[in-house]
Amino acid sequence: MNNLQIVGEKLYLQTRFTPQRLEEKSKHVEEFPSLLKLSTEILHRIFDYLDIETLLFSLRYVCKQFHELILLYNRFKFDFESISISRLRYICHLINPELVIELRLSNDNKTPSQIEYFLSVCDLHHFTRLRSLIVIQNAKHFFTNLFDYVLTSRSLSSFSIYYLTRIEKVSKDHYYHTLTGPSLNSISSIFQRSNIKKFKSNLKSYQLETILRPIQYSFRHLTIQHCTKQQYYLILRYSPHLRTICLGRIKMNDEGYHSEGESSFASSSDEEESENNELICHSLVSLKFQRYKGSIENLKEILLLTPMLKHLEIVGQTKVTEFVTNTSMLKEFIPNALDLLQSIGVFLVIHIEDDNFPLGMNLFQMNEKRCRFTYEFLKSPEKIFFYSVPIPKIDIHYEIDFDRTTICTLKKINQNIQLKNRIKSTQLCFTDNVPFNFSQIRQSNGYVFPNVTDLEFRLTEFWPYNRKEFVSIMFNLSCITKISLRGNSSVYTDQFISQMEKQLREIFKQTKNLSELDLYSDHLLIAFDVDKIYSIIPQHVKYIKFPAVGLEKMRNIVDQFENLWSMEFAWSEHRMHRDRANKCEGLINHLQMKKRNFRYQKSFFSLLIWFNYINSECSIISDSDD
Amino acid sequence: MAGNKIKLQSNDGDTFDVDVEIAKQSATIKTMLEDLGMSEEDDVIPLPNVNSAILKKVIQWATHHKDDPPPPEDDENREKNLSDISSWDQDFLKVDQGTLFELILAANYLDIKGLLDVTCKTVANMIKGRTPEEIRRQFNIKNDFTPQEEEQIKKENEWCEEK
Repeated sequence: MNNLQIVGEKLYLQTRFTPQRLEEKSKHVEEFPSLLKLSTEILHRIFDYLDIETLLFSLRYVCKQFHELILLYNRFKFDFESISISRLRYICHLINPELVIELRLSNDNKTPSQIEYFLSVCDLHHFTRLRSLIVIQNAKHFFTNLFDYVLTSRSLSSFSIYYLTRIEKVSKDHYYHTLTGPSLNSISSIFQRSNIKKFKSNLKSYQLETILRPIQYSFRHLTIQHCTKQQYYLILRYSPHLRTICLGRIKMNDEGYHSEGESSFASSSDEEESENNELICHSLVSLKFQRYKGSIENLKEILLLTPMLKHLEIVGQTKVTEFVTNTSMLKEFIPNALDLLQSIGVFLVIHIEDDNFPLGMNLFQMNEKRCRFTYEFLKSPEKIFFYSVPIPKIDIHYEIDFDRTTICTLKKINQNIQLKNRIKSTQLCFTDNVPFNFSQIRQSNGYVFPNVTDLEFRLTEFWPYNRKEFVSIMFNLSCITKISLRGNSSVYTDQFISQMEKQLREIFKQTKNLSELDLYSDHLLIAFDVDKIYSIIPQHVKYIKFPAVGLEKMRNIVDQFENLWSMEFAWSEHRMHRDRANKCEGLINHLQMKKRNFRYQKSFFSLLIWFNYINSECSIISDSDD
Repeated sequence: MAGNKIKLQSNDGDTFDVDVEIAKQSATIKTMLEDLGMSEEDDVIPLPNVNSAILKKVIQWATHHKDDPPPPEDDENREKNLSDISSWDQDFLKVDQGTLFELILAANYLDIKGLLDVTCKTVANMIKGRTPEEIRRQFNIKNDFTPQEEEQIKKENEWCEEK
C-alpha cells in the first residue's frame, strides 16, 4: 500500500506537465467563454466603446490576437481632443483613413494648433468612410480645406462645430465673452447642404440670425446653444425632415435680456406671422432643452407646435412660485396634448425666494407615462433639485458641503442613486462636520458618485486625517480627469500642509486618468514650495493652471514642470493691474534663455504657454493683451 | 392569461414560462413567433445556445426592462457613454467573468440589443485606461509576443513619445 502511494505520487508528479495533460487542461478551459474566445463581431462591438488610445496603446499590446484584430477594426473614432501631437502623428501613420468613421479635432488649451497640424499631415479627402466630423476651434484661417471636405464628402452625415469663447475688452472696465471661429457665411452654406443630416454647434441666436434663411433644410437632427422663439418657428417651418432638436434654451419675446455679445435684433412680431406660427404642426419626435429658463406657459406654447413628440427632456431652472403655481397646468396639458409621448425627463433647479416653501408639495406625478419624480432640498442657499427618474443628462456643478448644506438624498446612501450616477462635476468642501457613516458607505455597492470626472476641493483650514479614505469611497478616482484645489485661507499651519501633502499624494496615486489640474489658490502656492508640488503631481498630468505669483516662483514652475504640454498663469483680480506685463516678459525671456521650444498666448487674464510644440520655435499664437 | 405566455427551453432541458411581451425583447424570438408562425400556446421554443442559468438571468434582465421606452433616434451618446449604465444593471452585472461573457453570447444569439450594449459596455469599462499588463491580469491573457516583437513594440512607443 505504501509502495502504491509512493508510485502514484511519483506518477502524478511525472505526468503533471506533460503535453497531453496540458492539452486536456486547455480543453477544459475552452469550455468556459473568455474574452479571447468572443467572436470578432462582438469584440468589435466592445471596441466601439473604447477610446483610440486604449485601443492602440494598451489593448493592441496585450497579445498577438488583439494586435491583429485591432488593425482589422473598421469603425475607428479618432478623438484628438486630448492627445499629444506625437501620438496623433503615429495614429495617422498607422491607421488607414478608410477605417475611420468619426474624427474629432480640437484646438483647445491642451492641443493648440492641432487642427493645422492634422491637416498638414493628412488629406481629409482620404477619409472616404467618415460619417461624423467634430471641430473644436478658435481660428478662421484653415477652414477652406475643411469646409470643402464637408461640402463634397459623400459619406459625411454629421458635422459639429464648436466655437471657443474669448474674453474681449471693450473699455477700461468692461469685457464680454465672444465666440471666435469661421465666418457665418460658410456655416450658412453647410446649413443648405443636403447631405448633412445632423448638425451640432454652440451657435447662439445672434449668429443664427445671420445663418437662417427661409429655404428648405434637410436636417434630421439639430443641436444649437440657443435661439429665439421666431428662429425656432422658422427652423420648424423649413425643416420638414427634422426628427430631433436639442436646444440650450429658447428665448421668448417676453424675456427682457440679451446675452453678452449678442446684437439686440428685433424679433418679428407682426400679427400675420404670429398666426402662421400658430398653424405649425411639426412631426418632431424628440425635443430636449438643456438650460430652459422660461415660464411653463411659454413651454406649453412651444410644445403645442409638435404634438407627435415621443421624447421630451427639460433641464433648466425656475422660481418656486412659478413651479408651484403652474406645474399642475403642465401636468394636465402633457397627457392631453402629447398623446404619443413615451418618455419625459426633467431636471429643474428651483430657486426659493422666501421661507414659505411647501416642503410637502404635490409632486408632479405622471404614472400613466411611467414617470416618477423626486426632489432634494438644499438648505443654503435654499433651492430644490426636482427631477424625474430616470434622470436626463445634466451638466451641473454639484456642491457637496456638509457644513452648511442639507441634501436629503445623502442621509440615506442608497436613495436617489440615479442623480449621483449622473453627476460629472462636483465640489467638496473639507470641514470638521462630516455626516457620513463610513461603515454604511462601505456596505453599499460601488462609489457614492461613480461618474464624477471633474472634482473640486475647496480647502478650509481643516484637513482631517481620514480625507483620503473618504474621497476614495466617494469617487472613482480612476475616472477623474480634472482636479481643482481652491482655498481662501491666508494661513495654513505646518500640520495642515503636512496632512494635505500626505493625503493628496495618496489621492493622486489613484487618479490614473488625471490630465488637468487647477491650482488656482494664491495662498496654497505660497504655502507649498514648487518642489513639493512637483513631487506629488502625477507625471501623466498634461495641463496645470497656476496662480500668477512672484516672477521667481513662476520661473521655478516652468523649469520644474518641463513635462507638461501646457500651463497657464492666471492673474487674480486684485493682481490684474500690477506688474503683469513685466512678469510675462520676464518669464518669456527666461524660457528663451533656456532655449525651450514653446508657444505662448497672452490675454488680459492669463499667460498660456505650450511646450514642445512640434516643428516650432518660440512663437506667439496671438497677443490680445491690453 | 396562458395565451400571453410562451415556453423557452434552455440547452440543458429546463423550460421557462415567459410573458410574450418580455420574450419579444429578443428579436430572435420575436421573428420566430411572427415570421415563422410559431404559436404562443403549445410550442416550446428551444434555445440550443443558452443554458438554464444564463437564460434565467436573461429573463430577469428582460423582465426588469420590459417597460423601457425605445431610445430616441438621435441618442448617439447613449452608446458611446461608458458611464451610462443604470444602477440596477450595474448590480445585475456584478457576476464572474464567465457569466458576463455567457450573457454577451446569449444577448448576441437572442438579439437583445439593450442587454448586448450594457454587457459590452461593462467589458469595455474593465479595459478602458488600463495598461497592457493590467488587461492581461484582468482577463488572464498570456503575453505571447516574442522578445523581438516586444522590442519592436518598445521602439514604437518610444517613437510615439518623442517630442
